[in-house]
Amino acid sequence: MKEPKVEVNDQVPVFKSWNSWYLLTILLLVIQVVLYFLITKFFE
Amino acid sequence: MSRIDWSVLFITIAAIVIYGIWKSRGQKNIQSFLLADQQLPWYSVCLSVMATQASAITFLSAPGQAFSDGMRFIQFYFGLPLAMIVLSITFIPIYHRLKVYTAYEFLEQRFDAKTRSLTAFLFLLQRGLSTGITIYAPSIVLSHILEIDIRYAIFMIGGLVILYTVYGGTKAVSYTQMFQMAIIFSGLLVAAAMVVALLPEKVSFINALKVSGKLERLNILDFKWDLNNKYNFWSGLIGGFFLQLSYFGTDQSQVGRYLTGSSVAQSRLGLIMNGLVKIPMQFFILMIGVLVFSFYQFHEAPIYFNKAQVKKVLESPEHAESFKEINTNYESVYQAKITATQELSAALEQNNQQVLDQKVSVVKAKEAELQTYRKQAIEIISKNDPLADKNDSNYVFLSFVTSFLPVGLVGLLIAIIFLASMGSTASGLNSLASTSVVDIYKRWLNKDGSEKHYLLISRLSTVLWGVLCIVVALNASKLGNLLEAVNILGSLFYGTILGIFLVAFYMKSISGNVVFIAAIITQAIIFHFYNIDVVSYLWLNVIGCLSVMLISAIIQLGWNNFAPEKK
Repeated sequence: MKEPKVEVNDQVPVFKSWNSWYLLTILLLVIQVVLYFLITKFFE
Repeated sequence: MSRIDWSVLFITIAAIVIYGIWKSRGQKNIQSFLLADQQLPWYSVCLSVMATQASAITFLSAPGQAFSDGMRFIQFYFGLPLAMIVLSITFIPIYHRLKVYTAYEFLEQRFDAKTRSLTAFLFLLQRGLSTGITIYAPSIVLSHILEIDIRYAIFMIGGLVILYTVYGGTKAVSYTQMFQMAIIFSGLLVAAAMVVALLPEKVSFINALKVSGKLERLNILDFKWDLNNKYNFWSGLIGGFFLQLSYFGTDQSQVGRYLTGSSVAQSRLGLIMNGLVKIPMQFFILMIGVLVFSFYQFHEAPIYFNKAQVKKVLESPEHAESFKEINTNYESVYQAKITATQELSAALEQNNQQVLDQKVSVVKAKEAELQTYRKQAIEIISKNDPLADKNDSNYVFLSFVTSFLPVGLVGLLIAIIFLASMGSTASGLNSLASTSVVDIYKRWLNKDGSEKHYLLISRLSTVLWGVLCIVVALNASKLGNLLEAVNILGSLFYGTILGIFLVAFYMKSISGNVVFIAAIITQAIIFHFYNIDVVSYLWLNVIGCLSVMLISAIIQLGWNNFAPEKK
């Protein structure tokens, strides 16, 4: 099947590209993991 | 429950249900019934996606999970944000562009009708069983507060959700889930505040958490690589990534949620927001379980949290005396444990590690003794009623709420549990109906019906699936902690389904026949691996997905090389 060309005309909210949202998501995940590591160590 | 609690409960639920039905009036076709006319903004998509995943199981069993096993379950969600990113890049644009009602329609275009039907069938099996479990969860609540047999509760809850979903369809589900989530978040904040307020005066919040930490309940992260350990960083990040990718990318109960978005951007943003908010939300819910655990270090916990079963055994002439004797011993040791815990809490203020370690070992020794009495009590309960649930972790939070929270709040929290269940079960029933009508009925049995006819069939299908899910719920008591059960069930099928979709997207040379055979072989392998307990269940998602892709590649290669050439 020939994959249809996807036209993504929607305006990206807040940022200029979707990559910024993706980077924010990864950054928040990393921050949370660090936070949970600190909590684990503090209460061990 | 008091009259005020019942009033709060009924008013909250009635308001939500009436709102949903009013908002969804005037549906004339399946575009409206199944996809809400694709008009919804990102925040509605986000809340709907979250509400679909967060059923009563989340609010009942997650605190219970943390109570008995600590916070490590949070690692299960680490793969979710990454899965949202992949879905935003790949699946969402394709689904929107192809204007599909269900995820499986796409597979016929890519492969063939039988692959579409196989995938739809795997989904129907998995989602049907899971939705049955989501009906069972709030039935536990109802049977506990009304002190009725759980089977009656199952019929009541199942009947209510069927009515609500049949009449309102996807629009009712989506609109009401927004308010459900708002009420749920507020209620949880209140519950957390109340647990902290109920701690003894001499015990600070931090000390209570430190006590829980010493008793291994704040074991949030575990970086050790161990394929047989259910919850560690790696199984959550990798296994969890595959599970969430499959769940959100191929399970119609979620695909149907974000296909209601008015555009690709709205669907994407809805999913990304879910990725940002989900882990903190789950952390908070699990933390409530730890706080309840902390609370019960300073107050006596019942020997078994399922009051209905305890009541049954106390009414049994054969077993009542031995149960009472064990309970008396349990209560006596518990008092000693509370004293030891208070000493541990006081020792935390001093800077003496030796004293602290000694206090911790005393508390742990008392805890071990209590567990022995609990096991004996559970054995008696089981002898009294062989069908009794042997795991009471699903009842811990419920027991706490009904025993200790003030009037009014009990009603609100019970309402939250019902609302969560309704939202999730309604999404489940809606997706089962969508797939049955679009991928089975319309595809194979009646391609040329009118919109009015398909709308009728969608409603009938919802009823039928509701009844089947009630049957599943009636048999769900043996599954242990429901949060684990529903994820184990998912892990048995999601890997294969995801593998089929990834082959569809990224392995263009694979034909329908090949992936069909590969999927069947893989599913057999997964069942076998689960049966012989090769790895912990999260890894089954990875194995299933990669197996479909690898076996497809091998079969296609073999076919290309050895198949007779067409003349």
